[in-house]
Amino acid sequence: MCPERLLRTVPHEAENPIEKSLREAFLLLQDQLKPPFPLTIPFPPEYSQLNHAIAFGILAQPHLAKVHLTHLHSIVVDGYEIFTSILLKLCNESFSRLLEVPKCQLLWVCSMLIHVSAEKIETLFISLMRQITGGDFSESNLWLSVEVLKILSNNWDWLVEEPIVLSSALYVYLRLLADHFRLGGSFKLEELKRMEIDFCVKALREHFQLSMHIGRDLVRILQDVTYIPEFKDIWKDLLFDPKSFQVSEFSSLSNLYWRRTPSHFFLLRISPQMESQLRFLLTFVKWGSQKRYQTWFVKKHLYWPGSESMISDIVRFICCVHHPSNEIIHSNVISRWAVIGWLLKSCRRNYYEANAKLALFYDWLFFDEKIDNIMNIEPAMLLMVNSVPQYVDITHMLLEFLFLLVDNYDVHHREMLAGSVSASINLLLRKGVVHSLDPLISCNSISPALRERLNSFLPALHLCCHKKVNEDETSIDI
Amino acid sequence: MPLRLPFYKLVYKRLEIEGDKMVLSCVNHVKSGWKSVFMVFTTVADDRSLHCLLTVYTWKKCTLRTGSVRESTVLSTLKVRDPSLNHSAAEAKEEEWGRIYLYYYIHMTKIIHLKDIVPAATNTVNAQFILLEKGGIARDGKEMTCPALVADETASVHFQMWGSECETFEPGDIIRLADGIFSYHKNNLVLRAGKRGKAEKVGEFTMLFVETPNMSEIRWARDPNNLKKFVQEAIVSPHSRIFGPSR
Repeated sequence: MCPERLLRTVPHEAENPIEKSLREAFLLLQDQLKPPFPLTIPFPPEYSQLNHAIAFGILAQPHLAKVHLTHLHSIVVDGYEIFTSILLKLCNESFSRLLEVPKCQLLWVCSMLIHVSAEKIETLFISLMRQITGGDFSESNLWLSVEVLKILSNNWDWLVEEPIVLSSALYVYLRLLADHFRLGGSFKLEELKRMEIDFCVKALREHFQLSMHIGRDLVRILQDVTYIPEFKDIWKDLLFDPKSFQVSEFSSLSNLYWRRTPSHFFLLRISPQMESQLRFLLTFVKWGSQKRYQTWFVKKHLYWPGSESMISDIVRFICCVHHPSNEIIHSNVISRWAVIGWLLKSCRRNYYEANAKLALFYDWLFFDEKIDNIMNIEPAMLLMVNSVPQYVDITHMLLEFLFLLVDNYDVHHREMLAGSVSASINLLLRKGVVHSLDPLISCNSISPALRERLNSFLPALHLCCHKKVNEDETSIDI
Repeated sequence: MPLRLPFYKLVYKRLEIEGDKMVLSCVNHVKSGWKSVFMVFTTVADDRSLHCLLTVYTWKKCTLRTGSVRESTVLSTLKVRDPSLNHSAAEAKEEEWGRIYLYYYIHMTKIIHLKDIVPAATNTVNAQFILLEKGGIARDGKEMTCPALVADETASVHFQMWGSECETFEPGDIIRLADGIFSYHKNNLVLRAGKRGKAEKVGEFTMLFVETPNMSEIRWARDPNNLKKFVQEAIVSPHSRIFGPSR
């Protein structure tokens, strides 16, 4: 009997090693996979082989899946760790190439593994959520969105015991709602939106303690959905009735501002493939060689309408997750600020561009040296300083946006935001990320109002340039 | 390659317990002659490939010490790593295949850098490169053809795609060429799979490259000492003239 394929085959493509090892194991142990199952516990190498064989069986033979699963339950000695590792590897490396049947089977077996509290099942679900592409309204992507959500919604008892999965799911589905809600149309989509809303509302209202783990980015992503009535109410309560969430540490929205978002959240909206390509670009590709890689990246990940939605997520990833070593920073490898500049320029619609800029400056607004990392705020500063004089319009645009944020993001906390921006600039100067802001302050192509405002954020030591700005103002006008 | 199947099984079973740390430390200590081989495997980033390499490296260490391929030395080294080795008939057969494959592997399938390719009428080019740009698809008799610019870390070259390759390979694809041929084809000096070679996609994006020198833009002349060989005579152009350098 010729076994089915798991992955889509393309001519001239080397056989996928994972599929190969699964199929080989299956072929080798086929006869052992039918009941009655031997009662002896296999030795480690055979145990691993058997796990591989059963995995292939479950994915490729839906009509026998329950038999294979029973077999697995009867032989397991490691809490399913090897089994989930196999699925995790498949998911991380080849999910998009899975054929329809194995894909369905994968989700089915993941839901089954919840009931037996399999080792690393949480990691597997995080990986599945990373496969849901942002801004992608294709059938298969929406299907994945629904199926994962169905499993999570049916397993709240388990979810509550897994804070990372719960908070990650909330992050993912709030982001997806921001994309999905604007889309009108099919009955299936309405159903998905309803499920997403119900899930997020439940997480926020009934498990706010766990939702808070997201930290300050929860505020950022909630803002994108406040036009949805249920979230408008949540937002109002967050502002005016924080006690309604029944969490003692939460007495005001600013409690969230002071929680730095753990970096693993920013991986959630980046697929593993996108992550490895971005990391490769920022670790190995030298200045001057980036153009082709950028073209390929756009062609693969940012080519369809709506894909721009991911740009703010990519910016957040670059600022907060990928921190190059000093060795790389001082080498000839392309810098994070340059990649971010390219991404900002790729935005075609204002809404996405604004979100991307917010993602770039978000940690500036709440920066606290004790809990925040200078690497998160470095790219924005370097982008502004290095864009002068050749791309001064970028610097201008960013400065304008920064001050707009300080003044308007949260009018009740304006002083606090301004203080944090000041602290950010202060630290960047102190640590020598930039030696001074003179290139900006004395740049005539930037409006005097912006330059003066920037000056006001500098610590006293650097205010010596203030007089100079006034003197130059006479003949300059934008 | 039919020999690869039992070899993987052989090696993987032996080294499953060892873990990646040991493999990586071996990778770091390898002599430069093996760098190109490791380059190929690390770009594929497959645990089992690394394990294969460890075995190959082990073999190499044995030959350096003993001065020749001693099958018994290889086997004894392998056995040392897995004391619980079962000497059943099937296992013995596998070791036999493993030995044959090792020999085949070391002597037959050397991956070369693009900068080292020389025009020849033989299918002996084994290389790995990334596809930078594709030209237009044309017809050559019954088949489709399509020129492409490919490159590795050392050089670039014009790669002539044929038939189904034309629609399958896209810029950004990392391609492994086995038994390819680098020769004049209708007055163009191109690298291609040819009748006996095979080109396969093994990855995407994660490979460094240089666009100069371009091996197709070099004028070659016959070596006066050995008329069967070619040597570089002059550089016609540092970059491809068909595909300009990326601005």
